[in-house]
Formats: sequence, C-alpha cells, structure tokens
Amino acid sequence: MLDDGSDELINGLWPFMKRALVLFLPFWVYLVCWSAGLPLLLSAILSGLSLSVIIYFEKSKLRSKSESE
Amino acid sequence: MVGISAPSTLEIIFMTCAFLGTIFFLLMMTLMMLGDVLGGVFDSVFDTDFSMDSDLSFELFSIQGLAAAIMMFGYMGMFTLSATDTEIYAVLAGGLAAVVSMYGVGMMLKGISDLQVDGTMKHEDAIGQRGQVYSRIRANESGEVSVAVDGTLRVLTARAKDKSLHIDTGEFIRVIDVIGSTLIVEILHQGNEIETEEE
Repeated sequence: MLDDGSDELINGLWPFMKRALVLFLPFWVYLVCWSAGLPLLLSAILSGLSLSVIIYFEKSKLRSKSESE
Repeated sequence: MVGISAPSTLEIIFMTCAFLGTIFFLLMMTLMMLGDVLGGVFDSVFDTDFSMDSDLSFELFSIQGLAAAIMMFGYMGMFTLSATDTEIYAVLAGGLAAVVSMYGVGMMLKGISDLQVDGTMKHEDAIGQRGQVYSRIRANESGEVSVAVDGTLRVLTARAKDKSLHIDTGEFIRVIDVIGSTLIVEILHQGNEIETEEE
C-alpha cells in the first residue's frame, strides 16, 4: 500500500481530522449558507466545494513538508 | 400553547446533535472507565488475552472526540439560538464550539502520548558517570559495577581501562567508555573526585 505521508501531519492527528472534516464540514457550510438566507442550490454547491478545501489543505501541507525536508 | 411552540428545523438539528452526542459521549466515557474491569473479567472467563493496540485505542479516542464535538455543536448552537434568536450566529458558534472541543480532545491525546516513556536504557548515557564496583574486576576480566544511568541505579558489566589493573569490590570508579554493553571504567582517585566537584 502506498503511503502518501499525510498520516504524520499535525502530530499524526490529520487522518482523524480529515475524516471528521469530510463528514461535518459540508454539513456545517450548508447550515451556515442556509441560515444566512442563501438559495438552497447555492448552499448545496458551496457545501460540496468545501470538500476541496480539505484536499487543498492536505496537499499544501504535504508540499511544504517535502520542501522543508 | 402555554409558551411551547414547535421547534424550527435548526432547533431540531441542534437538539438531535446535543442528545445523540451526549449519549454517545457518556457511553464512550463509561466504556473507557469500565474497560479495565470488563476486560479483566472477559480475559478471566474466556481465558483469552485480548488487548487493544495503540491504533485501535487511538481510533476509539477519536470517536470520543467526535462525540464531544457533536455534543458541543448541539449545546452551543441551541444556547446561542435561544440567546440571540439569530440562526447564523448559532451555526457559527456551534461550529466554533465543535472545533474547540475537538482541539481539546486532541490536546488530551497529545498529553496522553507524552506520558509514554521510552524505558530503553542507552549504555552510552553511562559515560562520565561515577559509581562503585559491585563485583570485583580482575585483571583482563570483566566484573560488575553499579552506576546511575538515566536516573536509575543499575548493575552493569564492566572492564578496567588498564587491562592489568585489579579493582576490588567497593572501589569508586568512573565510566569512560562503552563497548557493546560493557562499560570501560577507571578507578576514581580522590583527586579526580575533587576535580569533578569543582567543575
């Protein structure tokens, strides 16, 4: 199995955080958008896009880690 | 009717989160507290040696953190909603509370992992330490010395630096080198001791 090195991010807490964020971040973003009065469609799109933030964060942390090494 | 109205969708979400989070959190805490007792009973009755490795316990702790986050999201959201009557504030405050509680659990995990101590003794740490000969060191043979290594007094195999030297039991020595697990020692003369104390 290939190891992408993300297991060691944030003192090894990242794998757990990632799963929790994937579960709850879209839900939370949707609630924020919905409670702010945005249209349902826009709220749904934004909540879906919030998943990309998690991936982007992971990739950027991995990149900075590999550069520092 | 008598001040009770049907809850809004957001209130239902917050209440569900608070209820389920609390139930799950308390359940996990109870299981964690009873874990040793029940584990011991299970091992005794079924004559097994079931133990959780660090990965599994870490996952369980993670679930506990998740439960705490859901619980705090529900409570803080409900509290903010009833206090401000503004839905977006409630959602934001609930999210913040969830992150803070998860961070707290993360810190707790870090604290627990910091409590682990590597008990492996490094013989190299004995270099420079002073001690006493426990079992005499004959010329060109090994004996035993008692020295403090990493804060623990240990009895270790030792040889004299000068192969022709015979060091009697009770003599004070200083460790000057380590080869494998054998300490190389020299007699600690009165002058050496005074020098070291002056340093």
